[in-house]
Amino acid sequence: MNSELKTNTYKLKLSGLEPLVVTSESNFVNVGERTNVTGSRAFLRLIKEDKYDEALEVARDQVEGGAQIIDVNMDEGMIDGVQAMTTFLNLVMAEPDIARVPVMIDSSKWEIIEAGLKVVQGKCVVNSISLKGGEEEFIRQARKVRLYGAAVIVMAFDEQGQADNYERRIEICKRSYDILVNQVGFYPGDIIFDPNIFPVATGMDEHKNNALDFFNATKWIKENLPGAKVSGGVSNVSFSFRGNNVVREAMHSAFLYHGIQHGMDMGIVNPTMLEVYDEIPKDLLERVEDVLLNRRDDATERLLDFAETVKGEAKAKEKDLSWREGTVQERLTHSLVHGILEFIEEDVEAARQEAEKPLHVIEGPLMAGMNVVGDLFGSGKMFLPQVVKSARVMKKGVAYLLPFLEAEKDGKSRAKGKILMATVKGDVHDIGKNIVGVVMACNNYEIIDLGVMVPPEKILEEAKKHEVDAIGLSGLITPSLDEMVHLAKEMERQGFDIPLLIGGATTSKIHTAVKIDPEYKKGPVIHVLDASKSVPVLSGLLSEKSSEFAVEYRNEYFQLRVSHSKRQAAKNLISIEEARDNALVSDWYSVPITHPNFIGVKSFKGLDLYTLRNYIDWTPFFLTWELKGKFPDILESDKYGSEATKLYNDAQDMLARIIKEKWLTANAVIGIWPANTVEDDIEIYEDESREDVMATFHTLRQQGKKGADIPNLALSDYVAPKESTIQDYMGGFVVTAGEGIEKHIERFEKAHDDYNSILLKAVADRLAEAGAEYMHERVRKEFWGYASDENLNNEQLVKEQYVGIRPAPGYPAQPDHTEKITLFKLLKAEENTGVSLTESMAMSPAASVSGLYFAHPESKYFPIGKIQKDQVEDYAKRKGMSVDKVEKWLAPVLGY
Amino acid sequence: MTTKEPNKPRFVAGSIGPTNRTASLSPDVNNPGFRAVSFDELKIAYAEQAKALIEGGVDILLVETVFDTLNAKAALFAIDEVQTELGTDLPIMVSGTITDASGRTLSGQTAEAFLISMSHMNLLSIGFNCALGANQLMPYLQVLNRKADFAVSAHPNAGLPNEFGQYDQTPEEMADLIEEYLKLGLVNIIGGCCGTTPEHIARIAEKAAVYSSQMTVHSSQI
Repeated sequence: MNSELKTNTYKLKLSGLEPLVVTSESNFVNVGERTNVTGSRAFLRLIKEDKYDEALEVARDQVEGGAQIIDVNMDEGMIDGVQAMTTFLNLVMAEPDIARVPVMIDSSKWEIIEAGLKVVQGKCVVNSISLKGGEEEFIRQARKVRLYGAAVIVMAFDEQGQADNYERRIEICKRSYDILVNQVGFYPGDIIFDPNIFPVATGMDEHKNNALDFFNATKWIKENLPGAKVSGGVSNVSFSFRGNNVVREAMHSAFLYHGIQHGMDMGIVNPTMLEVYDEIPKDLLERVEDVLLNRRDDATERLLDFAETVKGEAKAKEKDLSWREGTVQERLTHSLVHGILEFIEEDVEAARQEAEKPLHVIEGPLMAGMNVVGDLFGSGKMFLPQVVKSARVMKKGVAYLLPFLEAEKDGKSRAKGKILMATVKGDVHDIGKNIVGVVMACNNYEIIDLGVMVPPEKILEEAKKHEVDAIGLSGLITPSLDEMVHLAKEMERQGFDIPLLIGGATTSKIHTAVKIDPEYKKGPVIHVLDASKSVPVLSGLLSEKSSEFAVEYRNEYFQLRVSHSKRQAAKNLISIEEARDNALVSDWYSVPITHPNFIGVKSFKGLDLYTLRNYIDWTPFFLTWELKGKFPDILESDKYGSEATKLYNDAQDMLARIIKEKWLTANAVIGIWPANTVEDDIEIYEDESREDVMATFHTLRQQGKKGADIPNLALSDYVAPKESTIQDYMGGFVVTAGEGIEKHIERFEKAHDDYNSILLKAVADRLAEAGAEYMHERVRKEFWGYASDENLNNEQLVKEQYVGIRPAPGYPAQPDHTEKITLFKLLKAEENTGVSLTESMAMSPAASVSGLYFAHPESKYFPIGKIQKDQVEDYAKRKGMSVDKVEKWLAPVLGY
Repeated sequence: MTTKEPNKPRFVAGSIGPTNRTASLSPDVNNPGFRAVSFDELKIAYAEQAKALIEGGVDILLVETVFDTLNAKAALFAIDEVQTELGTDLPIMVSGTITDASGRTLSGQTAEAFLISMSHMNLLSIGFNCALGANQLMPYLQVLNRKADFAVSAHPNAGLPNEFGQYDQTPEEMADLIEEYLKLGLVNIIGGCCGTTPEHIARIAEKAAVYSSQMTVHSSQI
């Protein structure tokens, strides 16, 4: 347990999807007030007319506009409050960008409050309870609030009525506080008082002290009721100036300013109806404050007179719509990624007009957008509720296209087949399934979608009932695999013979072949990699040649099973001694060794990005975006061409800005040292005398059984052995292009622009790789100079047609990431480049590359493969590391 | 066991799982406001379980694998009512599940938001179990360790499953990872979830014994 909590005086901790912690040091907390039917006629109308989509936009607007809590109120005679509260909050919970903030459940009716509490997972605020109905009722409600796990607003209200002066306010608050803390056991930090904000400048004398009494009561509460917070509905105060937003905004700001000075913690405020205190014109401010603080008898008249002169217009709402200026693809992707329904039909229509066929809109831009969603989900940058939202946008887009698709079909409208789809029991992931469903439906298959978490009995029952032609199962979490196996067994047992399609992120061809296929012999089982594969598979299976088609798969899966069991049976590894006996043996007296032009360490700050740009290998860049294909051919590819081109153009634009506006700085450090090997270790020497070993690089040797004349390689084979007395060399480098990136990533992320954030990271990665390519070339031609007459273009560089290699620790030739420590020390890399190693040996910033230089003419990149325990033990001894540790770092290559 | 070895008492925690329905998420993409189960239905189901467990003699109630905080809130509500009815005051453990790399529960909450949403009851402990292996779970346990007012528990899986859904992490490997928790003083209660075997728990218990001053309960398997 921590001491922070013990020393702190009662924090108010709330949560939506994310936490909100209010302490005495916190800034004022803005509570959005527009999702309130008593305060907003527009919202009331939306609820009355059942326009919940638009009502959600009101909530989203507020959160985007800075509300940290949203107040939701459904108290209206014509509305079923329990039902409206439940419906609206359920919808809010499905919108992660709204649900991230806590909810204030606002009602004067207990049953509406309770209905709200039953549907919100986060810690809410109940607004409100009071002593109005007597102590017994108050205690009952407070207990319930506690059990539901919410904080509570207590109104300064008792059996006699609402507190309308200072004394009544503090008397009721004190009484309420004592009951809550002493009788109910309420946590004091969860108690929030609303000491009633009433209108001022009403023309009535008894209202003159309304604001001042509130301020003073606030101060008293904060001083006398430990832990309690103070809130209030701010817009009440300006009630008499309805219609004059300039004055109202000034009043709200000034009220808040003084309220906060007196200790007010939060308030229900429309953030878009709030002037910046410092920007209120001085003459207006003076008159407003005269009223609020009751500073002069004619304060009200003076403000009314002034108000006549400033009848202004409401401020235009500030919402970033710059994304609307992008291309259709960008707009669609944006709407999909951000789950925005508002523009989807408009944009789909735009895409439809550009497309040859309506179907192309789905297969092209909409699917491309969903791919981005999939990537973000896969990398943990989106989470499930967001993805579900994206699917909804997708569906709306597709729904818009349906009439056009129907029109296209021209009579051939009979479905090609009836497919049942389900996410298996225990799994709620269905985005992939839905995409597949959409694609199949668009290809004229009738889809019966049973949704998620579908028990096997139901799947089979429905399959029989609808006489479907195939069953498609989906799952994303690993236990789903077993469910699929189970279902296959059931199908066999119940005598099914229709095809069973397996899909979803956790599934694989090998698993399908080894575990599922053997269980269901009466019918075909096929693993479907992604949505695009679903249609060819289906049309094959449901065609006249279906049995031949199925047999092909069955054979393939059989082969897979056989080779799988073979692999399992014999790993065929040889001992480390045998492997060393089969090392690459060079005739060291004939291997050309160039004495380097430079020995030692050299650092380069601020590499010219313009130069590096020419060294970029774009193929991996597209791979990052799951666009598979070689650059530049991919730009012309049928499948990815247009997407790839757009992406490439965006990358080029960004690259231009990176260079021009100096977003990133690229640094490098290289080293070249005298080196010789001792068995599988490479010793690095202080100088040519080769007496003092400065550092040792440890290498691993392949232990897979090799054919005749194929050596078992280790990187040390590329450096001359010590006993040969030949003077050999080795180098190393670290290059980064990530300096300065955080600021821009943050900027993009703040703008919820995941696309550009990912793009920037991907481009920075490419620049770092380009930097490595560039430095390597200079090392070969200049610093080491073993290939001074080399003349290769970028394509040849990409194809690694140069002499020598630059393998990186942690990669296949040397999977041990900890070798980076040695390299970094030798190069003083952190000091020279700003790149540091995390405890898991990742380089930070991420856009960094490191590696070793070998100049041996026969050197090439190779994977180490699986290794045996004997080598691990030997390696541990050489490194002075425990076997356990070595095994941890080398876990992926352990062959035992 | 406790009678046999009174110097090493054993406690039985009655495990209350998450059910297979989510109160905060719609199973129907086209109808995001739909819920397959209500708070009150969950409350009834949880009350039944809690009552049976208490009558069966458990020492602790463990609300585990919480993927939807609203479900867990219904469980805590039900437990409170049952305990009031039976006149018991058994300690309650809550253990959530961080589903994946997003660092969120399935219902979308961050670790801290989850903690806050569960802190209205006087819990014995709060923690995480399932879905992740010991090393992936670490950052979220750190959040709890820093922010929670209760003891912290962890029941990780034996690593992440391979493509066959099996767990490859050996008892030794897992125990080594757990030792990192212990060194950092992250947890007070430790155990294992999917893929762990009695052998895993035994290895973990050996490690835990070394650091026993911070541990309230040695080991368990969900």
